[in-house]
Amino acid sequence: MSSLGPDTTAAAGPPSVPPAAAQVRVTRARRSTLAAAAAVVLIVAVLAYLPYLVYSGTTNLLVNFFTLLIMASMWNLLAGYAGLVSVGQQAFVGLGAYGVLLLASHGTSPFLAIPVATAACAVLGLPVWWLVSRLRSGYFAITMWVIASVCELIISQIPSFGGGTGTGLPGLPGNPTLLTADTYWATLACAVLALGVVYLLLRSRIGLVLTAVRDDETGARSVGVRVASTQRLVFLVAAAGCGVAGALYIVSQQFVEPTAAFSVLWSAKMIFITVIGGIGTIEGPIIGTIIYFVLQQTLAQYGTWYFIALGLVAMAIAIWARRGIWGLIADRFGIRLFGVGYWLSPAGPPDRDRGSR
Amino acid sequence: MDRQEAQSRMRLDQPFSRRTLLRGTGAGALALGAGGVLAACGSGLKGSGPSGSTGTITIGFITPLTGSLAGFASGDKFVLSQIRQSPVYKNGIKIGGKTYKIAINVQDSQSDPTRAGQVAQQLILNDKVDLILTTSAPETTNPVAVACEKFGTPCVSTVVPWESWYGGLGGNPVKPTTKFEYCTTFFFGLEQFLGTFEPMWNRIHTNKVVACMYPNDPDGNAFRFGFEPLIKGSGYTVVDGGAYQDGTTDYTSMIADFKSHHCEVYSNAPLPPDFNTFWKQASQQGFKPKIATVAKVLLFPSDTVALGPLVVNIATDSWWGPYMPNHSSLTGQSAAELATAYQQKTGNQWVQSLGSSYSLFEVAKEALAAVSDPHDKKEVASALQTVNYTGMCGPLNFAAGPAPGVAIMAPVGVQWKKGTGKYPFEMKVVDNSLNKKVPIEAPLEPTNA
Repeated sequence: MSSLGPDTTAAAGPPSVPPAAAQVRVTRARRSTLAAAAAVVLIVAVLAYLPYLVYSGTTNLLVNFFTLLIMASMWNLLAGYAGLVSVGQQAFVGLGAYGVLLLASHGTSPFLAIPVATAACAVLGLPVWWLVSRLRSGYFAITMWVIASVCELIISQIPSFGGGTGTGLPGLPGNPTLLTADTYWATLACAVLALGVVYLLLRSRIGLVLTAVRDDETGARSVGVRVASTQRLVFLVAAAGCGVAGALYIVSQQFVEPTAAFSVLWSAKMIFITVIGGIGTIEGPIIGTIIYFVLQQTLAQYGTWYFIALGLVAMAIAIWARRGIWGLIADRFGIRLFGVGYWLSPAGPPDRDRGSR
Repeated sequence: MDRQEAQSRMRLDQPFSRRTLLRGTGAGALALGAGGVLAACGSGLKGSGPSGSTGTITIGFITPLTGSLAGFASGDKFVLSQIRQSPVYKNGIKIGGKTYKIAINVQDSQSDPTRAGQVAQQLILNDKVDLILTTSAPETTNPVAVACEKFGTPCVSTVVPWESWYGGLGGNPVKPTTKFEYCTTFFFGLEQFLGTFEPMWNRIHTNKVVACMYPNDPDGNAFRFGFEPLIKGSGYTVVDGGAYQDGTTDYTSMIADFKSHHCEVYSNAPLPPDFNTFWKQASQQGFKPKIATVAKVLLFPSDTVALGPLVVNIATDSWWGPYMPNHSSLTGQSAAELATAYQQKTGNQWVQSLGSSYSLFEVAKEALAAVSDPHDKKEVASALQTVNYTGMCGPLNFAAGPAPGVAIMAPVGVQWKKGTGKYPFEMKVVDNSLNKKVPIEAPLEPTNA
């Protein structure tokens, strides 16, 4: 059996190869995938060097961009792959933020507190999963929201966290230039790591299971796929991912109050971005975050009209492009940037065929 | 075959092979290492870059144009049009022999603290503003002030009790000794609330038991920890309804508590929709205090729509209105003229925030006129700390407030009365204990006789 490494181009198909194997080539990567891999490395390198190239206004904007990207990718993993539609992921955003606050108020550097708070969110995800694992669809979504509200209520009763008033984050560097650069690098690293985890997860055997669950949960279950344990893993990854986004949020805002940290607006943004970008693809949330940001930067000054525009975009996508902008692009040009699916093509020249997943 | 089967089963059970895990760990370590190297050579960082055009002063203005606090900002567009027509803002300001043009960059906080903090950072880092003005509730002003203090940009706030603002920045309002280098505010505080409300309570014959409805949020906590001791100090008994959560929809137990203690005075600091719910339920369940003095709600005519006739004779504080004997320091226009101009231009009833938003720009002008270089943020910030002038909100002295950088306004007590003209309800001055220059317009009447 071949390994599942990122550069495998030869057959790494499902264990039971269909009888037609002789006539069909199964590949994971194509030219577009390989080109994308090279581009990703280049883009990350440029982004990492950015604080030396551009002023902190730009990197400051990118911090917000990457934070949203992490959240949207996690929501996409949950809803688009594991079939878990949550409107309570802000529970982990808030817990991540307050985790950093707790550690920082005891003298830890806020930047070192980010990974610890992230891990804590994954651990807290376990009891939450135990509570919600048997619920489906609407019940799951609303219970998650309730859990987020419970977390908010508990946090706002703790005076050392500033109660409902909120409090500033201690221990940040005093030099604004260094602070914005450090925040930017921390956010970039976390975003790359988060997307990397999603990518590796979907490339691994878990990804195959998730793709099966995404396409038909009952069908997957009936052929012996371990749906429950896979969903648990994804839930914990998403808890950690939203936790890290919350941790980055408090570091970039330097201030936190429970109503803002546990705001359901976070879930609304995650859903909006994922839906307009394209649910059930890694590329979707990236495209969605770009669209959301462009809309925000250009239209936010128009007040109410901005929200009307957001609503119209969401409605248009929901009616005419149910697989989002990336769905349109991928269908039109047959490209895929992250090689997590399988391409089936007749033996012979592999390229320019529409693949099936 | 057996071995192969065992292997493939193992692979089915294990989500990741050991090799994948090692590879992932390696990549992670590499990324962290690269980050460390980058962080080490911090000297080449670009920073926020040079400030904008030297001949123009840029003022950022952050206000909740949309969202739950939009009522506070309903007059801000009109105020901006007035400010832009005033001589200083139209023709520029002369500083040290050079005339600077003034540009105003308006940003919507969307009533979201997260967004407020983000637009403040963008104004500072991207738009290179020289000064930030912000208004309307701690949800807007506090994240903005925190960003200004962190990134070293002068900031003036208003329409936030100074204790909520001071506490949000990390100060202790009980011992206000901390001086914030870049942030200042003008409004009033709990002492002025008591100075406005207590004379009204005293004029109505009650059993001196006060029902207190304070939520667990910045304003509610400021009232709980700051206002309740003041109430007790003036000979009244406090019945605290508990630190409820914003957005609560059932107040039955709180109302029962107030009824069982026979509260005849009512005080609050809630979000406007929560008060509407509470007041309707109180009316249905028979809690009818003789005098209700509300804070943070029923400040604007739009708030009266939801309750209709139930608002009549509810008392609140007013920091500005056409009855104020004040004049603009920019144009000489009087408070009454500003209110009339607003009503004529928009067709809407005047709002108190017209005056406070207007004065933000007066304060900015006062500070800018006192410096030698308007782009020197430290100089502008220290000039703000000593601004002392009289304008649309009356006399404001930032050097003589209860805390450093805090100027105090003199509010009056008002009651909502049935309108006599075009508008269904009107705010009428019923008590001028703190500001004797304001004429009394109507008699104080019990909220529930």
